[in-house]
Amino acid sequence: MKGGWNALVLALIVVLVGGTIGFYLSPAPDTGSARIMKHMKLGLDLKGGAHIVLEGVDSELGAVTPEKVQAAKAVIENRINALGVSEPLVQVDGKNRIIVEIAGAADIDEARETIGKTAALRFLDPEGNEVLTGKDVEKAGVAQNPTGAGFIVTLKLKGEGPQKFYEATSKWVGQPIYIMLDEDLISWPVVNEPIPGGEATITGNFTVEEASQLATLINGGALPIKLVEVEARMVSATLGADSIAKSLRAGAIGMIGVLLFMMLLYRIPGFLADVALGVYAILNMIVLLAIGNVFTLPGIAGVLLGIGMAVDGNVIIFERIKEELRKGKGLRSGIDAGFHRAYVTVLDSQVTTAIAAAILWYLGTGPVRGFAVTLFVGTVLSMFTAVTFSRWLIKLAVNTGWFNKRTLFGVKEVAE
Amino acid sequence: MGFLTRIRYMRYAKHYLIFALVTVLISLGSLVTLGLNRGIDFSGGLLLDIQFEKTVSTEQVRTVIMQATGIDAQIQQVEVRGAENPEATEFLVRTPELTDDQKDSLFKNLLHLGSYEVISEDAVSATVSSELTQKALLAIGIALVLQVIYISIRFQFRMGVTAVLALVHDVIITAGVLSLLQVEINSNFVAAALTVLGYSMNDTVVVMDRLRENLHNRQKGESFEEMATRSIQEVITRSIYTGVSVILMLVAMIVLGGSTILDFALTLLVGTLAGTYSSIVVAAALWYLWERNHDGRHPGPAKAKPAKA
Repeated sequence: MKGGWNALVLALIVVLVGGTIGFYLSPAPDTGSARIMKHMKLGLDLKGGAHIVLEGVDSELGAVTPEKVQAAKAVIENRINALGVSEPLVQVDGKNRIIVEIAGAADIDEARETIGKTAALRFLDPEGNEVLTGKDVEKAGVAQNPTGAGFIVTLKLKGEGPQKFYEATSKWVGQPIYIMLDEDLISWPVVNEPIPGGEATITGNFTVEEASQLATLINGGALPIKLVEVEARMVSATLGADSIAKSLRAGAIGMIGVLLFMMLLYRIPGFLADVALGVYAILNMIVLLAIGNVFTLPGIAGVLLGIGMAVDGNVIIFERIKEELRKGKGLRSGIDAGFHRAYVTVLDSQVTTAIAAAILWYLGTGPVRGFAVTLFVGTVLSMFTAVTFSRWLIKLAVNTGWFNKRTLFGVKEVAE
Repeated sequence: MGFLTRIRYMRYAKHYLIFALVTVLISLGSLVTLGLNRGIDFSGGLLLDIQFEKTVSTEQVRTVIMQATGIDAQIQQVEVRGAENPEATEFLVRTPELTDDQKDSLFKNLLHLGSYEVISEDAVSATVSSELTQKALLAIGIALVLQVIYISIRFQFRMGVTAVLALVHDVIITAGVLSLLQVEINSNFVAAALTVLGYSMNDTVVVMDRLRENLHNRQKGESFEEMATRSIQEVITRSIYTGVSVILMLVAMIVLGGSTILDFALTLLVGTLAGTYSSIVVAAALWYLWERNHDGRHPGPAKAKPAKA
């Protein structure tokens, strides 16, 4: 009765996978698709977000010029990217305005928080006199603490900054200098000695995250002009809500086409590969939701490429098995040899892709990063599902004893 | 399908390379003369804030703008501001620069959807910063170098170089076709190009893998050319099947997806086709010619009778 058990396990898996996918894809209101959508974070291109318009105004920071507006746009872009918000849209509007659109915010207030106040950075002495402003800071960076544990923030000053800072630090040895972002106190390092040369460090036993956050705030705070908010409201997806629904349907139909094609090519193993692909889709979704991935069109492209490579893994393996069977091998040894020889191929192609994805994630920004995350997760998972898991399924099928060579792979009996 | 496994592939290796070179030159020529049609994400354009008195859908606005100007604009519905009618709808429309004629036609045609008011009309900058493009290119460059290293370790150095040359070929061909067709390039092009690179890499590695295996596993009396040809014959079925699977998906997106996804899917389709044939036509053929001239271990013509396939 060994065959019977195998058949039972196989049937259970098929029902489970089919049931899970059916449940989560069904559009009825009280099913899983609604639940998934609740947990899924979608990007600006697929869901929309907040649309905020900032206007540069002449202030103590200086007059508004087109160059300064461009510089301010770059500062805002860096600040949003440093926070890891997915793929914001930042553009200059007319002569003195900057449009910022970001996704994932439940309301305008949250979006404002994300953009951060268009803050003016100031260094104050203990009496509250202004020592430096954002204009004087060229760059803040992060470095390992040379004299102790943790990390430090490095400051490089420019223009009159070094001189002003030297005077202030000579006057206030042993006292703190207050670093303010608008009205918020973000750090208050104590002056150990006069600091000449415009290079200073802030030590405060920071972790690497704290140090880089502080550096980002200081860099981001270096806005060359004062900006005021003139408009803020919610917008729909940049890809157009009308288009997204169509694309989703197209993707689903295309996917069904691929599944049927696999069955047509490889009969029973093709069907089992489809089941393995179903498991892949479920795992992929779980992982991407768990890491809080924000879904955008480039991210979905990464998912699709991952699916394509998972399908390819199965095609490579099955073609190998067919080759082995044509050479006259028996069913079991043919399957074993086919998997064994194809495994290296699949592994090499997946590892090359995973390397590329890792590099793109590490170096890229915005859409490049969105694509890299999903592709990396996809390739790592498909190494398991397309090889190990589908092999196990096919072994179960063979053990049932219901399939002879002919029906299993559609190979003519020992062709020579 | 059967005939594909019987073609004497490597007999025509030089012809493939000439073909690849010609198509690359045509693509480069098109890129230099016509250039890429840079969309609003790269070049900036107009931002219109339009409020309709009645309820209008994004799709209706899109269709009207398409008919009036031939432009597929980026359209977002926004929260309505200061409208008296509770049924009012408001849209942000981004288009490339418009001529006066196009603008007149656009504003005239929008009246078909009911009366409306243009709340603001501004020139806006690009949304894709040059920094993003530079970082993307740097990332791709480093990824390619690492892939050469990986393939050199796992396979051999010459395979790494030819694989990456095939990738460069695919990207040039894809960009060339988009340039010839003057398809609008927006920020999603970056993602599409990356997808093409990934697919093409995977495809080339699979072909190289078969060459590697057969190189160490020569049949009795098999010449170098016969060995390379046999490798392609063995792997061609898989290349076609995988290509068809991907193309099925893309055709569904092109036929059924909305207009905003069309350019994206089209880019992927061109790239997939180029990637599939370049694995054989560029990567395998180039490697074959290079390896043949470099390595004494591979005799030219067969000395013994060829093995039975």
